[in-house]
Amino acid sequence: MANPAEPASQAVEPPLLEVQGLRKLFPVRAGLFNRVVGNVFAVDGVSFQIGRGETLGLVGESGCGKSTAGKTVLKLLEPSDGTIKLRGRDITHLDKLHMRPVRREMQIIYQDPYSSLNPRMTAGEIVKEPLTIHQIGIGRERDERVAALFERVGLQPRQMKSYPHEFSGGQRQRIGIARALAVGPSLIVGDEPVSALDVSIQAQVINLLTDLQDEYNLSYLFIAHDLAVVEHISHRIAVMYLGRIVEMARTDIVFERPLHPYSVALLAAVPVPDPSARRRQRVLVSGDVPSPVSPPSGCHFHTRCIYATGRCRGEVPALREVESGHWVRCHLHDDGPQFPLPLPTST
Amino acid sequence: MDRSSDSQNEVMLEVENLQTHFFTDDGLARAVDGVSYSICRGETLGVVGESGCGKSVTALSILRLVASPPGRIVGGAIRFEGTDLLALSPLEMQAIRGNEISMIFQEPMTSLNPVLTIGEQIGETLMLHQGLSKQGARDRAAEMLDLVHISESRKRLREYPHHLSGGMRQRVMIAMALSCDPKILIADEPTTALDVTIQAQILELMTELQGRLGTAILLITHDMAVIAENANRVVVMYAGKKVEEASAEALFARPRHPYTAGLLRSIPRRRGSHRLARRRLNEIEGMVPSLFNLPEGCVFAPRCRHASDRCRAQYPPLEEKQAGHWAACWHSELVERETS
Repeated sequence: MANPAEPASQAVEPPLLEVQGLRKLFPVRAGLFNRVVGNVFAVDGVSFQIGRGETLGLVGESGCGKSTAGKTVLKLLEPSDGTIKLRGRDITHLDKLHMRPVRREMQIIYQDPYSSLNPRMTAGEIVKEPLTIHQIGIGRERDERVAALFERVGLQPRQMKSYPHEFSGGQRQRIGIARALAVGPSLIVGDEPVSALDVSIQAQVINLLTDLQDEYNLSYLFIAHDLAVVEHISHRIAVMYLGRIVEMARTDIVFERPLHPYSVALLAAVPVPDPSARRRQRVLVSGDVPSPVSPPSGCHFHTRCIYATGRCRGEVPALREVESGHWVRCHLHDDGPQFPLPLPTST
Repeated sequence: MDRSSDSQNEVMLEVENLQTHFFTDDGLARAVDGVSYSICRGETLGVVGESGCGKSVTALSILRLVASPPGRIVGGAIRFEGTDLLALSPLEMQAIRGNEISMIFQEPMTSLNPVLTIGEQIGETLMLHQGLSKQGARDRAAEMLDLVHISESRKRLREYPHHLSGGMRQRVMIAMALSCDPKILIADEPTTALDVTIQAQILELMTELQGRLGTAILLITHDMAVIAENANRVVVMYAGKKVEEASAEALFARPRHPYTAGLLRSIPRRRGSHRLARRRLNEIEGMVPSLFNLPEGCVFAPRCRHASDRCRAQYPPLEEKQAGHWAACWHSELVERETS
């Protein structure tokens, strides 16, 4: 049976990253004795894979669990359930010591370059630190490598002696990228890496990321809420809603043939930078995302879905491959894909 | 609605050669350096620019909310229906603020009082400005919540801001801002902190209310797409100056300033088919200059591919390049040729 964590083609080489049934729950504590009164399933059974040199965009609104998923994949958070395989090797239960060599392969770039760089270290020291930790090179070699990395990400090697506060936001993000690159990873998780940047700087950093991907055959798990950016950078996209992937396919399919009502609503809400394209129907969902502490029963989206039926309230739809390479978690498509979904009658 | 054609051009607010400077330990920052624009009844003027361009400081100056020290309005005029706001006493200004001109901010949580209920906050404004009784203010507050599509308004009046989601809080802010029927609503990045589906809801709500109440909206944002979908006219700011102004259609179709043109080229756009190879985005090289250390001549010259010696020596005047389309650039014809 088809499985989203399985490679689409019968490639000999396993995919670089394979995530199967990943769950991450956080205890909810309350009361006088801070007792655990429940669990939040921040990530609730997420499966995907990323090939070498491929970018998977992970999109969704706040609270959907996309950042938690990214951190759990890297084991920066301990997974509660599921498996994570890197090049076919199960790393789910590796302890800190055994994770260390694996960490060379998987790096992360954060959203906020201000808070993710140690203000007391020079930019050069920040980029050199992972080389020291992983015992890559010695003395001079390390410095030369750092200087080369600075140049590669568009910084001046003479800026190695400067401190983070002396850099602009875009430059700080370049430092973060240099640090991630230092150990020669094959997978980089970008957690909203361009969201905090000014528009004119955003394009520079996006181009840098795609250039580096081409150059080093890097794989990216690109987590972001900006759909225009995600569309530009991703080969495939996974849409998350309240801890679950609701749709996953190649980028053009998600944008041109969205099948999940949530994806449809999400895409419709994205403003288009063209005044002549106005007057589309933008608002296809009302209300807010429910709290992940007490998500709705059945399909999490049923409370905001105009197509919801009694079945959606009671039964969690499975993520199924409704057409080749197109995975959807929705009862609507049980008897084959329905596209386009019938538009709601506007009132 | 039926009289919109003749009332449309009635100027409500005029900002003229505004200069708001900040006197700091690091030196003088000309955050707003000679900016002029006007807003007509019922229209949406978009002000767009990157961080530090002065778009928010201009708005705060209109309401005279710039923190002083270090900030000070050192020149220019702000006329609201003909009255110079800069000449008003603090008390007179208070009668305008939140009443005739009101403002909503990016982060509603920081602008709502956490210890007052929603009803108390909206009611306070109404009692202060409209002289309503407590009961009258309550009724009107409930009406306002209905207007912004908050369900169970009577119950919501008794709740506190932390009970509400981000989208709800922004609705409450809008309800509060509109409760006194202001003639002008200043919205400073009103949806930047919100998710995209909520952003669409809030922007639609603002448009709907504008249609119903005839409010003029000053929409400040960094997001070109939000501008494209909501503004009638657009002012582009860069390093404290207005560099371009035009109707939204003209600005997006035929930008005349290289900064605007560069911004429009740098945003990722929908492609027809993704089977096409991913292209690189067009970048604007370099970065926004520090206000403490602005270059001579045109402030954009160091990042501009058209820059000439003249640009580096002399700031270009803001000229009307075509009816209603203004740009401050010595080489705007090059920019236009490039984009058309």
